[in-house]
Amino acid sequence: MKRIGVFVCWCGSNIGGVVDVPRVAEAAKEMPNVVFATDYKYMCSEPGQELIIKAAKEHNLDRVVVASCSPRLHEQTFRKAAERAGLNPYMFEMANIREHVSWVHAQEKEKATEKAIELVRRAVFKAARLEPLYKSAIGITKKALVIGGGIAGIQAALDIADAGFQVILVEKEPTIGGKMAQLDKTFPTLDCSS
Amino acid sequence: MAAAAQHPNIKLYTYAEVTEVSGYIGNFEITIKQKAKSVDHNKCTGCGTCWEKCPTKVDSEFDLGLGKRKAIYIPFAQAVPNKPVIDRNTCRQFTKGKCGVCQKVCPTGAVDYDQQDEYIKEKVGAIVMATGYDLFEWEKVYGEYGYGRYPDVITGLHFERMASASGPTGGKIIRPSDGKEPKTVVFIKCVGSRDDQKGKSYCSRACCMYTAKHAHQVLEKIPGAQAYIFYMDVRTAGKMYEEFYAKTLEDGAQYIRGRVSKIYPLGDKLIVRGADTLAGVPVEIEADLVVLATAMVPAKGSEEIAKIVGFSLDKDGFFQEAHPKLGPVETTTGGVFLAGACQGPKDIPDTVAQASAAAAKVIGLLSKDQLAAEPIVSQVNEELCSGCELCKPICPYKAIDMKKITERAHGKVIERTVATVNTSLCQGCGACTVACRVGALNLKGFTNEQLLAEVEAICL
Amino acid sequence: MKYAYYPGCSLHSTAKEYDMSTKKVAQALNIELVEVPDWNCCGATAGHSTSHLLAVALGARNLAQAETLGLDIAAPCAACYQRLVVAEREMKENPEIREKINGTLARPYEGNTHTYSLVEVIARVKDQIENLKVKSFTGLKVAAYYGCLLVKPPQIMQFDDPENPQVLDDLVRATGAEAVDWSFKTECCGGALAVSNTEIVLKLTRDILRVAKDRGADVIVTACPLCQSNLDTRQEQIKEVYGDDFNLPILYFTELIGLALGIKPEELGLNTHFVSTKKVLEWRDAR
Repeated sequence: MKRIGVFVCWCGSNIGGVVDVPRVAEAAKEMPNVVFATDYKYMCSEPGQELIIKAAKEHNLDRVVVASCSPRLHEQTFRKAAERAGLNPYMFEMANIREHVSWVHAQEKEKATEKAIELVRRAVFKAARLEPLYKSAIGITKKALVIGGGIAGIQAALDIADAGFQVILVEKEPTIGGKMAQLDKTFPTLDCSS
Repeated sequence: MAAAAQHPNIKLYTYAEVTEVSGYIGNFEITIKQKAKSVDHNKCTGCGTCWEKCPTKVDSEFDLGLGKRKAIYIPFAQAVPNKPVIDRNTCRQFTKGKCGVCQKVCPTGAVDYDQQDEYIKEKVGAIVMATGYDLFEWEKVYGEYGYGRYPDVITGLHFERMASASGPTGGKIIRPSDGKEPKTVVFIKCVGSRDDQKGKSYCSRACCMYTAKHAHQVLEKIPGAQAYIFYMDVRTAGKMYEEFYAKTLEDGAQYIRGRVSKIYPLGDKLIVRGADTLAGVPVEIEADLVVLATAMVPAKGSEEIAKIVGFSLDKDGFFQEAHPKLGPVETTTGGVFLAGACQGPKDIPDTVAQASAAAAKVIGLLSKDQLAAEPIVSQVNEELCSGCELCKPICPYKAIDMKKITERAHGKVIERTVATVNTSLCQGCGACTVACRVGALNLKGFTNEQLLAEVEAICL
Repeated sequence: MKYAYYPGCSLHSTAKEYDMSTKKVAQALNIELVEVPDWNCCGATAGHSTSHLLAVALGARNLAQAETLGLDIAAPCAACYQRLVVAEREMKENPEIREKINGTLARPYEGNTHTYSLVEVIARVKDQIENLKVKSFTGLKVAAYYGCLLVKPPQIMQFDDPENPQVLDDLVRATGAEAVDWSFKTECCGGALAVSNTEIVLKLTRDILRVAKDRGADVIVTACPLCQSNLDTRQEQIKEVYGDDFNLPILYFTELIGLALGIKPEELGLNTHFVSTKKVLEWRDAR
């Protein structure tokens, strides 16, 4: 038996102003494998994350679904919250009910709520099939290559070299300096460009 | 420049190109082609005897044809390294098979006509792209400005070479046609920039300021001179920029809002025809010199080097940053960063800032002992894989290779080919999983089973 | 080579010498010209600024008439050429106009006849000029003046580079003369304003003459009756208003080629010009 917790976010009025958020949370409770569902004003905030961590422990959750904004914004936030709750960070799934629902269906509140429930169901079904994933470690060659020896390349090379790393600077012309070396005084201070 | 050459941590390859890049963030393998300089720089002292005696004179690329250089040359007096190369396309020893003057006069025996191109392999953890820009080739499209037929219609970079104290004219502004000092100089901004018809849609960002500087220099260097600037807008967003522009106005530069429709020679003057759109009248100026602020375009060869290193270009051919605000110096390829005008037109302060930002990203990366690799990568089910290789060319990150496996089937040991994913290179885009006809490829975290469950949740 | 010849109204009136020289030169170069039967006005100036449909219809009928000959059109007049090219393009790309016009025409235009300017037609036998010429204009400095209509609008005309065309310059060189590099090859001569706003025409023609003279031209050649007329007839007036005494003969390019081919000046109409063409004849005879 999987134990999924669903957390539905209001995003203030961003989602809550359109979608009936408590109804989405209620509907989630009826979905397979869901043992806990609730809603909160700002799920990404510190109290919101604490809510997830506390619920995970109390209800012995083994996977988490957050219905809120785009994963581009807060996927990493909630993966870390899951990790703090003692779960594998990849045992987390997100449903985007802001960009995909409330922001684009502001005029159709009833249908928006139905769509939000659908998207939460999608996330719940996927969550049930999640497996823990683990990051692997790769080594690093502590040396940098800079291609182009104009002002940009020289500046980057010097900064990296000053930090103590080896730099290879490759320039196709017989001299470094690039366009900068061709210039006379430079604005706005009119100092020389050598 | 000198600081870069002298830094103990910087290894400088000039007259060289990167020809191959493989590997991935933290572990790139690169090949550098060191073009034959025909001069042994270990022996050369940079004394200059060879280029003094060289009998071949050609147009100097560095001075944009305003001055000459020899076939064995340093591009300019303060070049780094301050040691020459031989331009084999113009050197008599190479074009005609006889001369040998430079070899004879070299006191250290450094000139080596038999030197070959060399290929050097290196390993690096990060790459900074800083390939810069070139100027828009206005001569090809601006027929109304003469297609480059009039010697006294020049670009801002030509002006820079003339204004430079170490340049071909020793800092004197002259007309290239007759060497006379111009009294009336017309500047035209946005030549190729903000011109959908003939050039590029974007603003080149640096021109408003350098044109103001040029106008200032004309008024400062030439007594009694007039400077006219045709402009569409004056864009001076930058610290102390507006003040600089205001000072140029105070100096007496005449700003005329409007485009120039024609430049033509009459007598020894250039007639510049344009519109003053604020006054609503056509204007005609008898100019001695016309300076065009031509657009910045990606440096020649940008497309090739982007392909070699493995990242994408934007619609104008500049290097595409990962995100305009959240990842302005990153590319979508891990470990490859951008600095300067190769990412888009910018001026020197912005270039230096971006270069330091890219350096900070590199330092952050190289400071780690190990990298955590994102686990959302493709995996191959070897039992299902038929070895058709369809996935290999589809992978944009060159992460898929084929390998041989041996297995027992029907009591016999057989060998067959299957796909294998380099998880360090794989960026988890999923393109291969769609291409795989037998479903042997799966993206972790987005497996076929997981995706079908999602479909079921919504459709059933 | 055989073409349907579309003289247009100018070549039957103000530009008779263009008609005469075209026919003579074509004959000498083995180009057969068959006049388009029952041709009508090309629709230039007043026509196309009044009604687009009418202007296209006028051109389409001429194209249809030429089609009965099974020939492509050679149009000496730049204005005619431009109108015919526009009509051809509209009939090809605009089905609505095509149906409307073809429904009205006694014989529909089927899109098989194409229009070429006389400059293009003669440029195709440029080598012939070099082979057949009996007089060379070596050293004569000629400004090739295209006018606006041959090249503009460039998207439609696709004639040559609209800023610095070379076709006419190449024909000038074929006569042994030197084509001067100048910047007013495609500037407006004032054309259609000739009657309504003479002041502007005077300024525009003066600019053209001045730049040609400045670049060292001894003579200007043109391929447009309107340009020829403006540049030739107004030099006296320009002298009165601006004080410039240009004294630049304005020849049709066919006249210059005709002279090089040994055709008699009077057969080319050189005696009909306002500015004396004597200078050119003397140059020819001096060699």
